[in-house]
Amino acid sequence: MKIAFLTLATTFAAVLTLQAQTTLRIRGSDTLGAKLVPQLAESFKKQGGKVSFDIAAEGSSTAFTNLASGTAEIGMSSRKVKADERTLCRSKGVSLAEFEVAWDMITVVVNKNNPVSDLSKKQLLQIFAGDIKDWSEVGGTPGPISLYTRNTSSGTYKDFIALAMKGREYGKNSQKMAGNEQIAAEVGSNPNGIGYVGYAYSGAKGIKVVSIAGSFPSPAAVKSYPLSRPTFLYTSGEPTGTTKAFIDFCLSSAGDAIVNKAGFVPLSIAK
Amino acid sequence: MNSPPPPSRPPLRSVLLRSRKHTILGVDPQKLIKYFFGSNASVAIIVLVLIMVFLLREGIDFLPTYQRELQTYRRAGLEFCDIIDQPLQRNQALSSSLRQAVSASLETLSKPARDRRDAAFLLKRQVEDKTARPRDSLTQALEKTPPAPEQIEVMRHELKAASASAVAALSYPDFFSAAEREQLQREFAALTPEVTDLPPLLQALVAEFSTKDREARTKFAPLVQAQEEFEDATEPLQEVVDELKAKALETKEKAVEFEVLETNRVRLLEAAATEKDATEKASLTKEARESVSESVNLEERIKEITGRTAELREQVEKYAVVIEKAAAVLPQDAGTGAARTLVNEVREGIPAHAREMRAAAATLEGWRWDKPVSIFSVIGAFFFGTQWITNSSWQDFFGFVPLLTGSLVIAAIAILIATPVSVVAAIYTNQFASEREKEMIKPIIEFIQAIPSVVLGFIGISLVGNLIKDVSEWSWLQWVPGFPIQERLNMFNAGCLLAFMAVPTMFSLSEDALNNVPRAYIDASDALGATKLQTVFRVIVPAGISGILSAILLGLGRVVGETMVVLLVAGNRIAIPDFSAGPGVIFHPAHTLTGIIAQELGEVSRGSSHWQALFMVGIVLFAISLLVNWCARAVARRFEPHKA
Amino acid sequence: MNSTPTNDNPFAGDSSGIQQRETAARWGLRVGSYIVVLITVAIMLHIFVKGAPVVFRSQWPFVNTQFLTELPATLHVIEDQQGNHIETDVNGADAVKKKLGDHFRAEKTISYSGGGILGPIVGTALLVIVSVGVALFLGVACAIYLSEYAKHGKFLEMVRLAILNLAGVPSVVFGLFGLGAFVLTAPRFVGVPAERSVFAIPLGFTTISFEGWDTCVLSGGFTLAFVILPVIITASEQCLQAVPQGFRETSMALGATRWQTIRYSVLPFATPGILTSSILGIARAAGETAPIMFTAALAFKDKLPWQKDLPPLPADASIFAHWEQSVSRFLGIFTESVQALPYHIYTLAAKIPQNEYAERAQYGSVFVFLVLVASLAASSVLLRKRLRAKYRW
Repeated sequence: MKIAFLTLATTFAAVLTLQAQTTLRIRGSDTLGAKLVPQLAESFKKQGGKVSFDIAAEGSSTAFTNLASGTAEIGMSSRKVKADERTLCRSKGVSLAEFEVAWDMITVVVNKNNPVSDLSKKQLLQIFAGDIKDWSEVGGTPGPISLYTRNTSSGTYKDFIALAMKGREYGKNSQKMAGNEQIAAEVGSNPNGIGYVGYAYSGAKGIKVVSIAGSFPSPAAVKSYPLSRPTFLYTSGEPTGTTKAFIDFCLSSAGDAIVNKAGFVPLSIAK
Repeated sequence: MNSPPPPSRPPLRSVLLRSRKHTILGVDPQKLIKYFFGSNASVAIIVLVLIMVFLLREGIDFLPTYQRELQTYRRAGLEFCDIIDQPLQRNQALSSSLRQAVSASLETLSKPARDRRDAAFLLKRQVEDKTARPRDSLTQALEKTPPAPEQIEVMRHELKAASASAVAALSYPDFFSAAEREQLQREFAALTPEVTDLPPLLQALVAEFSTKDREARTKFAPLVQAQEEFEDATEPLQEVVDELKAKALETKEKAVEFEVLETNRVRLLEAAATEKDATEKASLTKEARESVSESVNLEERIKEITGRTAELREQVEKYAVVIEKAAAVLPQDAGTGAARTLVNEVREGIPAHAREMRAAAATLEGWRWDKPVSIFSVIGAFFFGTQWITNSSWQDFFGFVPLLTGSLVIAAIAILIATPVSVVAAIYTNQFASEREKEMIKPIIEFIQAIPSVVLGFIGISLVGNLIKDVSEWSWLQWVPGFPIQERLNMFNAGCLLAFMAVPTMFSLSEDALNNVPRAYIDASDALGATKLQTVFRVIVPAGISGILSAILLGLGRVVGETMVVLLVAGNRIAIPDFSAGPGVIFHPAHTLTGIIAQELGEVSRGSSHWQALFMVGIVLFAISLLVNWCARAVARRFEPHKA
Repeated sequence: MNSTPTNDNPFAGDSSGIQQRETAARWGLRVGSYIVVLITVAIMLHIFVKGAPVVFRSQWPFVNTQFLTELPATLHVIEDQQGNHIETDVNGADAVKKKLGDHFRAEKTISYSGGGILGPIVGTALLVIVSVGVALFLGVACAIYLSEYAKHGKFLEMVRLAILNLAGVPSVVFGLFGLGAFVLTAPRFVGVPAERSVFAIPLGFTTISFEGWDTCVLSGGFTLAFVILPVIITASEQCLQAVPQGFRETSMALGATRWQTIRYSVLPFATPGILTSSILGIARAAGETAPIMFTAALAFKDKLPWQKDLPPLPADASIFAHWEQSVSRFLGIFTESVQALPYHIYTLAAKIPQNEYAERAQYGSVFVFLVLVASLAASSVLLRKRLRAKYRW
């Protein structure tokens, strides 16, 4: 009886340690995790990387909670780690290593039938803060503005506040969507909609990209576009083994090609 | 025991003899068996208790945590800034109305020019959309090094053909003259990737609009000027407030950082104490030693903020005077009726706004940074708070009201739709339907129960939303309030789907209730010569009303607790629905109690105030479900003197 | 029918008016009830029309085996010069591009929309196995007590009330409960208890630590078990009650104890009914999303739970080591997060665009899911009917 118990206990322990070595668990940003990272993972496997992937993308905050609790090997984040997140990880014995993988541009989109094609920075702020309520206020066809934003854990949500809104809150009329694609779909079906998506998602049906203060998002303009930002992968400690191999792959020129194809700006261009 | 299968010939005798002899620890095994089953029976009770325990365990700390956060909010001076900043937001609302008025006025002159410009650009876009593929290929080919001239030539040709067919398919609005149409056609057909300048006619249209716009602006100069002045009036005041806000935020961040580092230090030391590896231990201890920051002298810092009270009051007074003056000079002659209404609204709104600002300024003196935040005010802030703001860079608020109203409005829509339908269906199947009809209707309605809610949510996104939106655009339905709708994800959409989900529960229970009406009632009614209809509506339904009511209540419980449909379909706008829109409010999006848990719980770190707040919402949901169940039982008992 | 009353009954009113009203009301009621039926049928048809072509094929083997036997993957759509769209996966994409040379125009990628839905199906199956196992054990025992042992009293009243209330608890609250109880607190054997452990009981060779199971099949399965517990209890009790009282009396009269009576004279006749009714529980467990959101489900996983690269054993490994490895492989199935069909549909509905390529995965999954759940529910109903006909006492 006791022996059976013992084996059961050890096998349980064995199972848990084994799992950590053969599976890369990746958690975090939807901007990265819904498109870019799964494709990087698939290509990595095709290149002969012997590893399986577990990817969940609910927002950048989840990257750090999972890294801290040891339930992920790699965290994806569309923003830099916050100080309190870093200390949280550290207190659990996890020191974060940071890798810039690609640049993204937060792209403001409206319905394709909307005549508005350029917004000043102030107008953008006022629209998303809920001060401007009607399209006629910015020279469009009269109609109440429908505002689509990401959900609160999203790095894009936070980045947009910092980049475009001078720290102000989103207007109360904003609708919080689960992912970039959902925002694109809603704006595409609502003639009075406005929202923002990662640059990779700006080609969706029915939407139109708006230039900000005359600056249009494009890989070449990544430095001058006011809403561009780097995106990151985080690991707990300096990566080793498969984790390192995967990170190296992401930063290689083969990785760059996939980054480009997925609609992000590779570091080689951004730098 | 491997006895032969019963009941053919159970070896009763031997079993009986053996079991009589045995006792386990002095207890009759029969008793043990009974206790085993009894303890399993209590599993339902235990689970209910456990649910409560675990919800409370994660959620109960919410009140003290939130209290601490609100305390910091006050002590760091954020509250002080909000006293002025919050009412100042009203200025933006009024400005918005004025801007709309200005735009409506300008439109009287510039609308035709603008329409022409916008239409031309839209047409250009349509052409570009249709020719996107060849143009992209051409662009790629042009960028390629070394260039392949003949390939480029082929592609140019292709693009030209595509443009020609796209241009031919365009339909031009009436306000373009035949000559203009021709020119547009020519210009669109000639669009190539290399040419970045606008075609001449488009340029002309842009110029035409700006001339008209300038004209309009001179005509309505007083209004335009008043609007600008009004908007700019906030600037000096806003500047002071922003300065104070920055200061307060800095204080708060320092205080929070101190707290984090302090707990961090303790944590690191604890980790170091249990760490076995010597080097890791040393590094942890070292980090712990580094994790100190000086504590913040709140009192000193807050004085820097409160010290400017007089200045702030002065600014508010100045601001109030300026906007009152602006209200006085707001011109009467707006371009259109709508604009006039808007201007009048603003004119009437300004004195109230000024009063509000002055009142707010007056309360500044009475504000005390060290006044403790009582636990009751925290409870109030949660249960009656109207803001649910999380992951904010200013201050997180966990107000429960927007979510509750969203849930309730959606539930009300669902129940209002589901009740008549399911009761009617129950009456019909129970009283009128033939056996064959019954055999068809009942299984189909009961089948609805088996449809998983996430499937209905998907149907809501992919089918019902577009359906409602399309219907709302039918011209003969424009009398319906709220039509045409903007957002396809809204409360009505969610309500419809939830009604559909609630129908089987309500139908089955109502039908049971009708079944339970004693036969004698019906016979008596028949004997008195009542028609079938009279029997049904004057005897059977009133007799079964308690069952029907409790069915409705249980349906309500199901609807309030449903998650996936509202998460996917309700539109997720965290705000109290704008009831001033009248009945059309049901076509607005909203967020719900269940939806917020599903959407946000996966993303927050354990033990944070946000996490605890979500568990508090869970506790409230749990309480609501118990309450609804209790009501349903009470109703069923209260009205039921007769049992079949 | 008659415009004027022709009979001599002095009490007869204007029967024509009444009759018209009767007919009108009857038709009103009929239309009302048929609306529900029609909407249901319409929704089913919509899903069938859009989903069936994904799953079925017009040629042998008539089923899209790829969709049912592959894991979800990213879909690559490559457009060639003629404007044809070629759909393929990441491995096929390169081959297609090589074949087309430079002559392809654009490549689009859509997450989750390629491959099949085997992963989610397997995950849901595992969750259902765990949850129904647990719920049957607890539920049937509870039902036996209620039906065979319980006497009227406070305890019985409380149990019944608790079951009723449990049935009304919102599923998302069960999710919270599962997160708090199983993911974060449930006991497990560990070498060294984690920091978050509530308390730990050292046993010498190992430690029982209340630190939770993390998100895994077990956590999700147990959570779902409590969601379906009321269904199982109610159904089982009905089946037990349906066994005629005479069976029990006969057994007791022969001197059997209460347990023997239950074991030999009641359970054998109730078991088929209990099992068929519990199929309803399976359907419910398979369909729930909110309880597994935080306890078991995963958006993307590229392996089946049992596909794991364990390190190869040394050649001289003992039988014990082999045994240990196969046990750990088996147990590992239940200690991992999985994809589940309902959560997969949530992902497909909320996180990917709605276009013709994504639609394939969306409606295909919904169709398969619905067919699974509906056929479970329907088989439960049919089996119960047959059983009722068989055991007619």
